[in-house]
Amino acid sequence: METSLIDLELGFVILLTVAAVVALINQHIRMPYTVALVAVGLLLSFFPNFLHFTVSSDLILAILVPPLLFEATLHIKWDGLKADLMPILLLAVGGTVISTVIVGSITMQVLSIPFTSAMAFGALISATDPVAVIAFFRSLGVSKRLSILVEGESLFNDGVAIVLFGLAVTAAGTGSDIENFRLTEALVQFMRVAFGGLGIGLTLGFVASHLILKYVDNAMIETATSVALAFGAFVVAEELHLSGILAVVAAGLMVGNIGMQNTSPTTKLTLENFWEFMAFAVNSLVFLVIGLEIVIEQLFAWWQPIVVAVVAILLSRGVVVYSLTWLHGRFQPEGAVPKSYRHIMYWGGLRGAISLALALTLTGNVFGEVIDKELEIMTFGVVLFTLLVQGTTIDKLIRYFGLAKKRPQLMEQQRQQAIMYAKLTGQKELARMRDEGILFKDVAIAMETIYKSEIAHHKSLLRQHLQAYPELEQEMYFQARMNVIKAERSAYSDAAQRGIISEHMYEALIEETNDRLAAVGLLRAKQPWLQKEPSPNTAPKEAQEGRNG
Amino acid sequence: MGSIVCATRGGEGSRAVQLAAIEQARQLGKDLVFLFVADAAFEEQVEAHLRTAVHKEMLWMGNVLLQIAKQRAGARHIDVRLEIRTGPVKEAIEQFLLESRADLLLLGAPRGTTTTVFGDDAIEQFAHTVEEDTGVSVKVVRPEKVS
Repeated sequence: METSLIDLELGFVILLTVAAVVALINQHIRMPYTVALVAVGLLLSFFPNFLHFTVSSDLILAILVPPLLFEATLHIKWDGLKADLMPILLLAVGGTVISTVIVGSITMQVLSIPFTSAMAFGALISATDPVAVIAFFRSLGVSKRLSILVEGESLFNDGVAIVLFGLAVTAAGTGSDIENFRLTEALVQFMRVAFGGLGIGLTLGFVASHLILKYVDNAMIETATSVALAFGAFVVAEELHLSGILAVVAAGLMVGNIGMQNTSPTTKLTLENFWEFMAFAVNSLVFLVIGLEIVIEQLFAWWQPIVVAVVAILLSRGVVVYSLTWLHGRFQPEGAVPKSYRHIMYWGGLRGAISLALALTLTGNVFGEVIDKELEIMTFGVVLFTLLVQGTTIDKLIRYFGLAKKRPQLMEQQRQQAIMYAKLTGQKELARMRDEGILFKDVAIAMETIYKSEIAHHKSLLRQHLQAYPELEQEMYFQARMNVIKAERSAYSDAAQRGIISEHMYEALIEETNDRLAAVGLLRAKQPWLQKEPSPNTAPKEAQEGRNG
Repeated sequence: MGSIVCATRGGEGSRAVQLAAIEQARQLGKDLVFLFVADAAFEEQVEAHLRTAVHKEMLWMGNVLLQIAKQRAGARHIDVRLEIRTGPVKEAIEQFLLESRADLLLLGAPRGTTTTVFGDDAIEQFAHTVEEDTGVSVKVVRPEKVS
């Protein structure tokens, strides 16, 4: 089907609108945003003409994935990455190879799939996608180290999986099978593509960081440069038959660690805001598309190979995570990955965009029509299983192992504050409807009476909670202080835009304000009660009652 | 007539120690001073370019915490004096006790144990040292002891 530009544009507009609605609804339900998007995508897939364009592998790999990876790497600081580079590379390179072999062998043996196609499936399904997991890490306050381990592995294993997948597809094209598969040749090819991609990304990232981000102080030019770099690194590497994904990762690391550190506070803020929005938009599109592409009937029809694939990935993930982290611990005992982290890394190995994009390249002429279809549906099944089962239960595992640093008393305070905020908003809306004559007076008065009593009840619960945990007063102070400083920062931006202060003065004031924000953050982190291990059963009785009331 | 000094920093034991100090002041009819010390040792640990900002924010926070304590005392019709000092916590408290000729210092203890200067294990030792250095009685108030 030929896709017109208008159809494509309309498709994006519809997807972004759906994503915005899902994001809005998702604020009120406890579900990872990405999982909610997939669920909505699945529902929309029942309407076959919902989108007037075909979602291709190229669309995902060349348009959607580069900005996602680029944004993710911007936040990864070299110091944190360096400290755990060994386990990350072990998992990303060794782990992906081992996982490819295990999953490939199981599917080859159990489902009687030819060697190269089984290995291709093993490779494409070995790329982890932790977006849903990272979202939980942030909301639960999991340690930075665990985030870096999970995110770092994912960033690098995407590239490795694509290279391995390419090797398997090439081998199939040349008629190779298990008997005449040349390991050395494959290894050399793998090194060339992987290191070549990294080299391209590092070079372009270095040039952009030093020549433009450092010496040109203009937020618009620097943002445009970062966009050109994210897509440019991918295109250049792919044109040279090297790994575009690894090129994007390397370029992002350079910009995040060198470019953004050497630019002005205004530009840094602009870049951060731009890429934050970009990640939100692209992530929304990717996970909606995942849901849209999955055909439920096909999943039921092919349930047996899907079960085999799910068992294979769970088994291989277990072998990879537990054996490689154990091996790393033997060589580097001081930097060993804690056991609780290993369990989270195991269950948090979700699959997503990369697996889906690679599966979509199997259009019937790679391994033959039947095998291509089977691999595609197995991929859809695995992605769906990891997102809907692992993605919705990982938070419980994080809490079970005591890795959620946000204290129960803090969560309860936030819950009560949120309820109060919502009730007060409801009360205002009621008053507005009454004043405008939309609501009959007697109904309005009755509803207001109930609202008043509910607000008084929650106010009293919050007061009791604060009396039981006086340290939360200080937490409230920190939240409020952060908010007012941010409001002051916005006022400076406003003043600069209105020409009340010069650009030079604006930058000086923004820098000072950012220092104040950092100072508040440091003071908050210093609080002794935040240093203590959280005890899961510290919520007071009245708070527990409030949860039911 | 000596005064009662209540050292506060907004932690787990803050409410309990403030209420205990207010009650003592009311019963004994003594002046009550709420004291906040901006910890100089912490300032030295942070990056050099952030030190000024950290110092200013510490004073801002101290002011807010003391105002909260003042409101509590006001609700119980007790007038208080608020004092902010900067320096090493122990030395700053001792110096203030001597300057103000206080005869009682109240300290709040956190729940559980910590390794900080006001930690559960360290708090009794801290109180004992201050008592020895200044001759001023020191009382440690634990959150559980206040109804």
